[in-house]
Amino acid sequence: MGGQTALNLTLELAEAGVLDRFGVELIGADIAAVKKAEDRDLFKAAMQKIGLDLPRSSYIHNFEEGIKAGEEIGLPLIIRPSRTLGGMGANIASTQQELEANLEWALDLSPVSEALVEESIAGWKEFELEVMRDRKDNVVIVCSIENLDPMGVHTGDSITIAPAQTLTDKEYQIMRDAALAIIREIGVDTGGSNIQFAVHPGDGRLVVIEMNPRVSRSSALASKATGFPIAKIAAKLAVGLTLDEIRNDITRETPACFEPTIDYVVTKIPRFTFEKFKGAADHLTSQMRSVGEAMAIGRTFKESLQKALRSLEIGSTGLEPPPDDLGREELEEKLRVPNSRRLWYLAEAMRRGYSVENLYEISAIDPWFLTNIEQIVEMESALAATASLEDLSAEDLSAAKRYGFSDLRLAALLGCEEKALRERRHELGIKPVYKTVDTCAAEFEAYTPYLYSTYEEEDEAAPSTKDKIVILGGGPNRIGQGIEFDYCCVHAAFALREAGYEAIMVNCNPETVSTDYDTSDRLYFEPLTLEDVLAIIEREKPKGVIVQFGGQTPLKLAKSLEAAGAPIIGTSPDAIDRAEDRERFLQVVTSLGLLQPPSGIARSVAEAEAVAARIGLPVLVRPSYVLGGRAMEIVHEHEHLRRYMENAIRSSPDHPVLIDKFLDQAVEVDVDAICDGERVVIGGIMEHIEQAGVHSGDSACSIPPPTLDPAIQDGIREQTAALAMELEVRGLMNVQFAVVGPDIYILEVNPRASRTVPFVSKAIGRPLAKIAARVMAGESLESLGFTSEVTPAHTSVKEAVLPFLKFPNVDTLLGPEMKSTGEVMGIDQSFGRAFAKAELAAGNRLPCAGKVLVSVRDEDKAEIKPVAAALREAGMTLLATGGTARFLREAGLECELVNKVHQGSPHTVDALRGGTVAMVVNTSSTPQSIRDSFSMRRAALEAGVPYFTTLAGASAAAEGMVLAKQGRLSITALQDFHASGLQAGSETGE
Amino acid sequence: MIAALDLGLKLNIARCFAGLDCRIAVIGAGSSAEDIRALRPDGLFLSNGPGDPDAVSGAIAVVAELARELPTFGICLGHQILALALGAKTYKMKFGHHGGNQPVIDLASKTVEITSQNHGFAVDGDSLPGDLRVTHMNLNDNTVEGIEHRHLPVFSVQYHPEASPGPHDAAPQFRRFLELIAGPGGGGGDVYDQLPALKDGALGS
Repeated sequence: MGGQTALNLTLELAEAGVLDRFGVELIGADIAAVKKAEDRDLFKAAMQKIGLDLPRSSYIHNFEEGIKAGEEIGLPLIIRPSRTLGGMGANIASTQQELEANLEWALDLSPVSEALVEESIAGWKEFELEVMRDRKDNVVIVCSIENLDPMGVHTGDSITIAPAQTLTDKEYQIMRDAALAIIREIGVDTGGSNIQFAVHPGDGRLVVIEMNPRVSRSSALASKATGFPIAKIAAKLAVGLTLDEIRNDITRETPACFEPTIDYVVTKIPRFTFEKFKGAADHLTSQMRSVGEAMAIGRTFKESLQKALRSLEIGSTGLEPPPDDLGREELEEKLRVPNSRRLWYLAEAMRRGYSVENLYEISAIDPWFLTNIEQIVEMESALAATASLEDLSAEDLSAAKRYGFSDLRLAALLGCEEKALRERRHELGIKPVYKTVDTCAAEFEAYTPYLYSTYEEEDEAAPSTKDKIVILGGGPNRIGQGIEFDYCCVHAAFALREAGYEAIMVNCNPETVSTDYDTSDRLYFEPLTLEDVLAIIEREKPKGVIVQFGGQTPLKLAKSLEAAGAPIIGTSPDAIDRAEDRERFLQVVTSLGLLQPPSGIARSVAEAEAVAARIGLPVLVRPSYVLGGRAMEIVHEHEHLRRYMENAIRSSPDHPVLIDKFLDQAVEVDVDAICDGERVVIGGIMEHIEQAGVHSGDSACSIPPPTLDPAIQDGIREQTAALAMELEVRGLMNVQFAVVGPDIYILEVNPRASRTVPFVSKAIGRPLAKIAARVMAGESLESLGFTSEVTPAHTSVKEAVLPFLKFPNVDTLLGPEMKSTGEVMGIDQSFGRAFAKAELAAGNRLPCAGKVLVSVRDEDKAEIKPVAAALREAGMTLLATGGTARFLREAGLECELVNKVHQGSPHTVDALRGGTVAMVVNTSSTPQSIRDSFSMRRAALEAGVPYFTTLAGASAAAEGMVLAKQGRLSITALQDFHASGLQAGSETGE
Repeated sequence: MIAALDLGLKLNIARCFAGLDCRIAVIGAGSSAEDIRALRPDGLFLSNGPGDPDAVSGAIAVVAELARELPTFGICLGHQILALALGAKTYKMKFGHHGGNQPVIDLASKTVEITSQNHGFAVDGDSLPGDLRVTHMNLNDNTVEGIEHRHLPVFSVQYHPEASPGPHDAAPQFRRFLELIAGPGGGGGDVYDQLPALKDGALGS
């Protein structure tokens, strides 16, 4: 169930003999089946045994073998060097010369002089089948999925459509038969598997790509696409039930032993964040790099595609022309080389007159998909040729809505406002109806209202007359807005159902729990745009709408929803604006007599320099129109400030740049609290491990604060309460503080659920989101029994998980722009142990012996001494670069000297590549030193060596390592921590 | 050689037999028992076809005779006609079964086939005379999907083992027929006799 992480761990446990020692049986798929599916050679043999085809390949050990293999398999070929670090690297050879060059490259790069020469199937059509099997050997296909992007792009990065659209029944049944044979041959006894196939677009040859003997990312998508809960059923199968014995939740009467009927089209589009990783090219490859996805449901591919586009929340409302006006060659390059914007370039090419045949030749995307996109583009030109909104007939508008056009896109094409379009549409009586995802195309009655909109005649799910509250979800996962917000939405739904309301969820993210059909009473799988949300609110007429739980996505809609008459509950949109608007917030802070870092606004280099002169360097600069730390930088030097301003003015002359005094060496603190208007209860005070300047989402943090003075903590409590009462918060609020000596500065206030709510809830054992949802619905904290702060007896540490390994040539340094894609939590009796556990969970295995490479900036040298001493106490020896080594020796700490990279070999990177370094501590501040140490950080990452780019992080790690050395880390269930915490008499609200 | 009574025969049924190296003679729906005997077939196949089986009285009479003489296999309408010929009743269903994903359980092996179906009438399980038994059942609504004779090499299924479009799960039914023809001539064993009554339902909780 836990993806590749769980599977790998299970294999390790089996190999270490742990499972045998404790008599643990694997249920579902056993070790033999997992190995057969995962091991390339075993899998190949298994497929050959049942007569299935794979891409032809062979391992070669020298140049001659490679040439021979090339002749046998035929060009084009993929050449993969064996056993490279991180499994990186593969090149395509389309000509004999390329083959020769790549063979030399691969044999040279492989530490064992081995390479895999494989038939290239790039450009073939790609399909996936989700298969379930029970212990009586019943096998069903839950869903077929087709990738719009042909082979060559990771399926997680591909636009995918369910069900498969371009196969004949004969082709589909051959694939289905193959899937049945594969799950039986691999021997997955019970549960779900995902099987990927490629089909040659010319001759129909079918090859098996791979099989995942577990539930996968695609299983989640397939579950949402069909209403068949794959993981839930797989769990029941694993304990011995059979498919015919399990009921289908949706129909209640019929069993789970069936293949869902799909009378709609589902489109998933991945969401990328290339802009956050400087140096990463927007090229899609077999290495997955998307961070989230949006899914949409429509009656046709066109409708489903256009709904998915606006669900992405990347500012797109449809297939608008790309902002860059590319020449012919550049455009064709964008069509040929897969990238995150290819759909828009395809539409642009069609506008420029490229034919479907031509585009197929360039992109290898199936002509059926291209034809559908062309039909959308053709309708766009017809709409654009319409003189005005009034000239658009009801018939044409209705046809456009059936094609999935958003009101916004139509308004842009017709040159009017969205509101005017919506009013005209309503005047003409054109409104969406809602259909159910019921697994059976209405063959049987459906009891779970899982709905999507379309522009047809019949509505399948009339609203009830109960008291309802609508919860707006967070949309696709992205950096800065992930499943933490979904957690809050899900808990809100649970709490409101408990309180007797009908909970209605709106979201479009298939990876979430909020989009499970049994989380809420009614689920609308819809884009989170004003148009789509308003349509639901107008129809459901809820008592309240919650916009504070889904992150920025619903928050951005708050004002327009309120203007359209939606009953927003909890903190008012105006209070949210008071917290978010810089000027208005300054008034709040001033009236309460609190502190904010000195700041200013600049529209030119001169203005910026004046601000800098007034508040002093270093400063934090950012454009005024972005959120989530985009393009935020810390500036230490005048030259840097000048460069930043010039760039900012060039790229966005209308928006000023915000300049804040950067509080270097400040301790950052996050607070989550709930306010009901009567009282404010602190959920938790989190002290960041990394100093100010690292985005709060990327910084590790701890509850309780390990170093904050109790008086400071009380100050923080008072300020939080004052802000909550002043802003009239009803529900959750998050405040970020920076503490410098005795001074507490307010960095920002977010009167909404924050990223840290699930962490705090788990640390203190109280469901903050649930409590907050009921407060928003009108209950008091007193009636809910949550009246005072919980101080747990244990320590909880949150650590960020970073995706740098997936982005070659990107620096791993942390900064004000958030880059983490996930987080982990460690919990134990002391800070050091909890931190060590969190690092372990994040994949940073803290060593217990070996060398630590230390290279720190001058400002940190004074602080490095206790850290280095602790590291030695933990059993490590020290390796340091020039200045650091000199300092350590002067401080009486023995260390070995190593060259910086620019000082020549053998240097730090050589040491890392040679495997003699077990851990790295590296801090740098000036642009020059950052550049110099870049290759060292990258080498540490690629060698899988834990590295710390802040002294605070290294210090916490050293503390954890010392404690880990002294005694084993304890293993206690979270429930037991909370139970023992309560017994110990810690403060509780009850 | 198999005589295939054409009540609306799908070409793919003929292909499936041919695929098993089996010769078939397609004979018109109006053929008499004599006409069929004259072909000296090794087995009788009753095809699919449209509408209410009760209305096909000629074929029912012919099958009533021949099913006691020849190994017999019916699909869809052929299944209903076999049931009527051997004394069972049929009825009109509320919506019928239509589509390529109908789950059918084999009551002996307890395994499920995903089948393609298209019918509006069904065999009434309670009406089966003592020498017939139910072998297959629809998991969605517990209706009869297959029957066989306890003593004669005679069986039929309501669904389409030859489905195209549709899944291939049920394709082994053709081989089952050929094995009956080649076999010692008895019924399909007693395994289906040991089963609980039909309407107990196969669903757990």
